[in-house]
Parts: sequence; structure tokens; C-alpha cells
Amino acid sequence: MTEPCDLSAVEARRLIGRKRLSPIELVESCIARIERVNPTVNAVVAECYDRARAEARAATEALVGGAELPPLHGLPFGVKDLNDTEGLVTTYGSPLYRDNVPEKDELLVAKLRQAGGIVLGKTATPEFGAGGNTTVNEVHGYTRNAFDPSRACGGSSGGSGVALACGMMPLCTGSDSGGSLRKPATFSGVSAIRPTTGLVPSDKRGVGFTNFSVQGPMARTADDCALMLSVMAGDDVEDPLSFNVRREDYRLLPEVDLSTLRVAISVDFGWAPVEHGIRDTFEARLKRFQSVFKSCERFDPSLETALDVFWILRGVQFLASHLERYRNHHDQVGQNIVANVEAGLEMKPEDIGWANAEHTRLYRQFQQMFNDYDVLITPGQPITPTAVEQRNVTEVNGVPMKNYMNASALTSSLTLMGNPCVSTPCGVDHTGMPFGLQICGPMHADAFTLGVARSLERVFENDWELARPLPDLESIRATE
Amino acid sequence: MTDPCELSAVEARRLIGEGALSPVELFDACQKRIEEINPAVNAVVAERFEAARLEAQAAEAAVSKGEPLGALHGLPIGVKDANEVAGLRSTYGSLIYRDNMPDEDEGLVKAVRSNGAIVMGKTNTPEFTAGANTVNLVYGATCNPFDTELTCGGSSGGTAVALATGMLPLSMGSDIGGSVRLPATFCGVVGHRPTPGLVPYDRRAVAMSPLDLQGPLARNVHDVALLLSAMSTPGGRDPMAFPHDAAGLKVVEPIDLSRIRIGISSDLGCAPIANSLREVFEARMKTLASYVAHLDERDPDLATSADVFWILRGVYFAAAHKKHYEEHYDDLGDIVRANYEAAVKMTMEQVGWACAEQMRICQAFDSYFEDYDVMICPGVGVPPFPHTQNYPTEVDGAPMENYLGWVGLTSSLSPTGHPVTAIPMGVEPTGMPFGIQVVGPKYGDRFTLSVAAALEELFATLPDMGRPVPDLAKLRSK
Repeated sequence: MTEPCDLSAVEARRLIGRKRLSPIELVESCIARIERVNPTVNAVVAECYDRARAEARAATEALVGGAELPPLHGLPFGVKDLNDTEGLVTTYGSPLYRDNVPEKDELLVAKLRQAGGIVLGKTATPEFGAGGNTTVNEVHGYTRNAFDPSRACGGSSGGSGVALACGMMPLCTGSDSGGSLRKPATFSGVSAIRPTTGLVPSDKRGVGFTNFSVQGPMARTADDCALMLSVMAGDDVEDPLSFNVRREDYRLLPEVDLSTLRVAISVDFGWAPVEHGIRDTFEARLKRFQSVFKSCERFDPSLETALDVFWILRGVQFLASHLERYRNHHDQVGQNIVANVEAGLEMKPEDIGWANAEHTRLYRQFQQMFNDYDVLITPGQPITPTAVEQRNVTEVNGVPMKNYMNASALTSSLTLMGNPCVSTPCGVDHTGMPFGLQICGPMHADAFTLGVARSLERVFENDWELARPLPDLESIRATE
Repeated sequence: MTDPCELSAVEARRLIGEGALSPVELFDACQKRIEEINPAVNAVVAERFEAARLEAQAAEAAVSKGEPLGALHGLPIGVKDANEVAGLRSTYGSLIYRDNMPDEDEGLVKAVRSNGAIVMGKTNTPEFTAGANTVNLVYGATCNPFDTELTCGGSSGGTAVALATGMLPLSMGSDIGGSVRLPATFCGVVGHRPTPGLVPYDRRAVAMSPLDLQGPLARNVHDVALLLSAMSTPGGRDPMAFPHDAAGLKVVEPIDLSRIRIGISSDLGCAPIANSLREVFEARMKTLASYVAHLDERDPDLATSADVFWILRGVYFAAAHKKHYEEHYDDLGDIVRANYEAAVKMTMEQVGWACAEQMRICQAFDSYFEDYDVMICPGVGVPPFPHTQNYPTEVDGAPMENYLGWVGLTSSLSPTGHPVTAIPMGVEPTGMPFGIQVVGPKYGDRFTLSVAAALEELFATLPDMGRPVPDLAKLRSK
């Protein structure tokens, strides 16, 4: 029988509403799963079980009264260790904050709790979220891929990806600058959406006006992502890019008929680094499902300069966020932060000027694609997960990478555009690790793009080669 | 009877809808006014009267056939020469583009034309909108209609002058550090700097920036709301644009002032202002106090905002003008050259600091609106100066750090992205128009405009507080 912790969030919430599942039962099931599997994978790095149990009891009692229940009533969730949580240690993966216990939830966490969600614990992230290849930091060590603990789970929302894959909780928060929601989702065979810039407000972003760093939901299905997104979305005065929406437009996804869709397919935008094995897997998968669409054409959006633009604008972000720390706490700042700040200091205002102008040009050109296509589909990630110890991707197919973001071009180029991007699992790759797709939709069409992902999930779930892969939890325990 | 060109846009549109005013009649009145007054002030620098008259005839026919009419149906409109209109010379005030003839309307122009507006011509702007004195090497200076020796402000100077003199009922502007608000104040008209992203702009140089915004100008707040509604029609390719109810902006009801809590600041705690203007402001606010729920002096936490603005504006210059500087140096004016050179001398540390500090002041300024519904401050820190002078180098003896030093009252409000409506409020001691800025909470464009509408209504009933009008007879005789 399915354990409660393996239920989708939507299904668990439905059962809770019908009093067929109690929040206590669900929370206990999740805690048991964490205790069983986490020692091997190290996804959850702080917990608040006592408070969670108390909240679950209250949530269970609330079922009796028959009052209207909020959308996440009784659902446990994990919080990326970059998000501030009241009373629960929040390190940002940095030794500087090893003992940091915030007095207050940040906006995102507060919204999820107000909607009935129950924080179970914190999920691991690299130091200040910098580093997409593997989730490791000086405070917590490595987080391991549930499909092969010797391999990386991606980052920076790596702990969230692994926790979801292992059934430790049905929902987790994540954030994404160059792919930090999408990479761990793909590497762990789960789902995520990087929402349209501004849809999910943040009161903690270091730079006000930027496409970088957006917060988003991670879950095991598109419907679960939508449920969580509907709570996260909406305006807030603390975020200058946020805007007002009808939240219910996100909770219940539109029914998307795949046979009406005109789909653009790009393996690598014509230039981005993509491993041969991933390319072959993508082509093989496409052959298996492309007939469901009205049309499926090869189209590479013009993004040739995106990597340079991204690298420069990212340098500005790092200076804005970390220069003070770099200057005053140099010995307690890790190599990714140091390298990024130093790269930023070497740039010139002319470079920034160029990057901003080019960014704008790329954006306008990219949006024209949606006159001809409903969505763009690319591989979810350009590589198969590396060894867990490998910090950066230094080469792809033998070609050396210019800098440590170079291998993330498939995701970071789309960060610059600001469009919604959904990561959807699609079987396993040439090495037996989870494989996935990145589905990019028009600006503000987040619900539609998730709707496309859900319709694809339904196609995939009946085909062993396309279905979401599940980690072998028995073997994980055996490797302890 | 009122000359049709003197009608408000809302009134003219109503009469057109009722068949009581023909779009052709309105067009002819505006053309006549331009031909009479423009030689003295040089506000309209390119025109398309022939094509526009045909459009006015078509608009008239649409009325008589009972066709559905757009929100701006038959209303003549001016377009700042920084915007592109198909088949109409668009110079951006630069010699480099003196013969530039765009093939296509830019998104903003499409938006107002799709609502039925009739483009009459282009209004003057400083070179690439850099500077708050409207003068350039292509067309020369635009003069203030209240004293033609003095500046009309900028960069949307031609727009403000055309409105003040009744050449057009509506005109568009843009605002980085005050370019909608300053000319509105110097010419006694109304301008609105919207929440970033409300008005989609497909030609901004920097994708993710709240600095460079497009905004409406008109002679009263209701007309500004009408134009804002049309300008904010969704569409175009602007990464800052967001979904919203554009039609809902069309009509604003003046708010009940007796319930409004107002914070006032004569200098934002940091901006230069001449004593003469500070005294006018304080005296008029004393008068206003008796009509509202609360009116307290309270400065916002914007002490660093002018520095943030200067640095982020440098990034904008580096983004927009590298090519111009490298390939057309000889055709560039002093101001653009100097700004570009200052920009590329900045350090990366400054840019990083400005980005982080911008977020901090955004959030700090938001908390101002927990205590007050709106903030009011003066529209500008100095009276209009001679248009032969590039910019004021000192204010009451205090030297200005750079050529934007004197615009701190407007530029400090740009980096945070709050909506601002500039409205006239009588004249200052030298007899030139005086005005205030009404700043509202984030997303509160409609709210801010309804406060401004109520203030405008109130000021019209108070001695010496209403909108000043220039002496047209004097301008005609020039």
C-alpha cells in the first residue's frame, strides 16, 4: 500500500479534506521516511519535528469543526536553507551563519504557513546558493543523489530535489538564478517551475530589479507545483517586481490539449554545451512522444550572446550581495563566492552597459518565437549528474568550459528572458540517472505552461520509458 | 464659446461621442493654434497635418456611421521626439538621426492610435532625452510659454509647452529622473510617472530597470488618467510589463480628502531646493492641512537615492550610447558625451552598491505608506532658469555636484518605482508656475491619480492655487 508520504500533495490534501487522512498521520509518515533515508542522502539539514507535530495535531483538530480549510491544510513542506524560518536554524550554507536562528519567517515561508502548510525542516543548499553542479557546503557537507549516492544531485535547490524524490515531503521551496530549481529537479526526477519574474514576490532578494533569483515551487507533479505556486504568487510591497494576480488561476490548471500545440524543439539553441549521451536520449524520447503535438519543429532561438550577458549581470549580483562579506569575512567565505566576487570586480561599466543593452535585444527577439510556437522544449539539463565531489563542470564532450556557469547555458539563457520554465521528468538517461525536459512558455503563461507539463505527465506515466523514475529506497538504506 | 483646442480631452471626447464636436473641427483648431503659437515657443518640431486631417475625417465618418469608438477617438495627440512614428521624422534630438524616418510605429504609439488618437506631430526633447532643459542641436531650444527667455524644463519639454498653450489636449512623455514631472511643473500642466511596467515600453535600453518610463501629460488629472489607460494597453515586448486592468484606469473619481493622511517633505530630507520655493511649499501645505485628515512633515528615507540614481543612470548611458559615442562622436552634444564618459569611469563596486542600495530604499520607502496615504513634495527645486544656461550650477549658493544635482526632488523618487503625479499649484514669487508631486504606494497609480484629482479640484477653488495659464496674446505677437 502507498505510504502517506508518497502521495501527491493534491491527493493528500483531498484525502485530508475528506477526513480520510489525518495531518498527524501524514507528518509522522514523512518523519519516518526522513529518518530512514536521510542519513545516506543528507537532504534535510535541520528539522522542527516537535513544532510540526503540534501543528499537525491542531490541523487534525481543525477538521472536526467543518470550517473552510486553507489550500495547504496539513501538508508538510521543506524549506530551502536559503529561506529564513522562524525558530529554525538557517545557515544559507555558510559557516558565518552556522548558528543563525531567525526570529521571523521570510515572506515566502510565512505565506505557505498561513495557507496551512507545516514546515518539517530545511533542505540543503550550497553556500549562499552559489553552485549548481553539486550541493555541498562547509556546514553540512554533501547532499547525495537518491538514484546513486556517489553522484551529484545538482543545485542549488539540491536538498529539496532529493527530499521530494525520496518521499520525505510532498512540497519544497526552491530558488533559481541560472537553473537552481531546474537542475536539481531534473537530476532527482521531480518537477519544478521557474515562474515568470515577479509572479512570486521575495522580500529577501539582494537586487530589486533583476530577472535573476526567483523563488519557485518544487514537487513531484505539475499539479502539486501549481497548488504551491498558487499560494506563493501575488503582489507584495516588499518586492518591486511583484504584481497582482488571481491566485485561483494557478491552483486549477487549464486543460491543455496537446494535439493543438505548435512546439519548438531545441536541443542546444544551436551552441550550448550538451553531452552526447543527453542529446541522444533527448532525440530518442522525442521520437517516442512528439506525435502527440499538432506540430513539432526544430527551432533554435537566437541566444548566442546570452552566456556572456548572464555572466556579466551575475557579476553585478554578486557584488551587490557579497562584496561586504568578501572584504570583511574573507576566511569564512567559500571558493564559489570568492571566485564570483573577484570576477565581478574585474568587469568594467562598459561591460555592464553592453550586457544590459544586449539583454534587452535578446529579450525582444526571443518573445517573437511565441508568435509561431506555443512552447519551447529543450533537454532539462545538458549533462548527466557528475560525481558528487565535482564542484564545477570543467568540460563537456572534451570541450573546456570558459567559466563555472558555462555548462548551465541551457537554463541560464532562459533566466535572462524571464519566461516561465517547467522541469518535467521523462525517464532515465544513458547512465540510468533521471532525465527530464525543460518546457518554456510565453511571459505570464505560467498556468498554461504547467498545464502543458501536466498533459505530458499523463502521456508519460503509461510508458515505462517516459515515466517519472523512482529511486530504490531499499538500496539507499543498504549503502549506509 | 470655448475654442475646441482649449477643451479638456475628456470633454472633447464626450462631445465627439455625442456628435456635438467633429474631430475635423477639433483638428483644425489645434492646427491653427500650433501655427499661431509655435513660432514663439518651438514645442512642435515635426508635423503630419495632411495625414492627420485625413484621419480626422475618417474619425468623423466613424461617428456618423455609429461605429464603436475608441477611448481616444478623434483626439489629437503629440508624440515626444524620443518615440518612433511611422513616416514622421524621429530624431531623438540627435544630429545622428536628423533624417531618420521610421517605417513602423513603436508599441506605445500603436497603443494610442489603436484607441483612436490622431498623431499631430512630434514634440521637442533634449538630445536622447538627456537633461532637463529642452534644447538640442537639431531643433534648438523650446521656450517656456510664461517667459520665453526661460527653460520649459525637460526632457518632455515640447510636450508640456504644447499642452500649456492649447496646441494639443494630450501628449506623451518619458521620465528617467523627472522628465515628465519637471516640464509639467515648469509649464503648469499635469504629468504622471507610472509604476514601472504599467505602460509597456519596447524600446528601453535596459531590460530590467525602473528608471526609464513612459508617461502621459495633459492639462488636468482626468485627461492624464484617460491617456494612461490607453498607453497601458497590454502588449508589446517589455520584460517589466505585468497583467493589469488597463481600462480600469480610464476614469478616476476624486477621493474624499477629509479621510486622507498626507506626509509632506519640502526636500525629501536630501534634495537641493531654493528657499523661495521651500517657503511657497510650506505656506501652501499649511493651507492644505485644514482640508485633510492629517498632514505631517515627514521626510522619507531616501538620503542615498540620488547617488543610486546617478550610478544606475550611468549604466543606462553605457547601455544606450556606447555605439553613438564610439561611432558618431562628432555628432554628439556635450551632455551626452560627458554623461557617457562619467559612466564608464564608474567602478564595479559602485554599481554593485547601487543595485543593493536600491532594493533597500525601495523597501524603506514602502514603509512610509504604512503611516500615510500619499507623500507630497515640491515638483522642482529651482524656478525656471534661462534656456541658454545648460543647467543650474548652484542652488542658493550651494554648488551642484553634477548636471543633475538640481533635480534631486524628482530623481530621488525614480529608483524606487513608486507612482508620482505632478500637478500645478499656482505660481511662485517670480510669477512662474509652481507645482507639487503626489507620490503614492506601489501599484497605486489609480489611487494616486484620484488623490491628485481631488487636490486639483480643491486648488481650483482656492485663491492663487489653481492652474496658471500663459498669456497667449503675448506669444501670438512674437
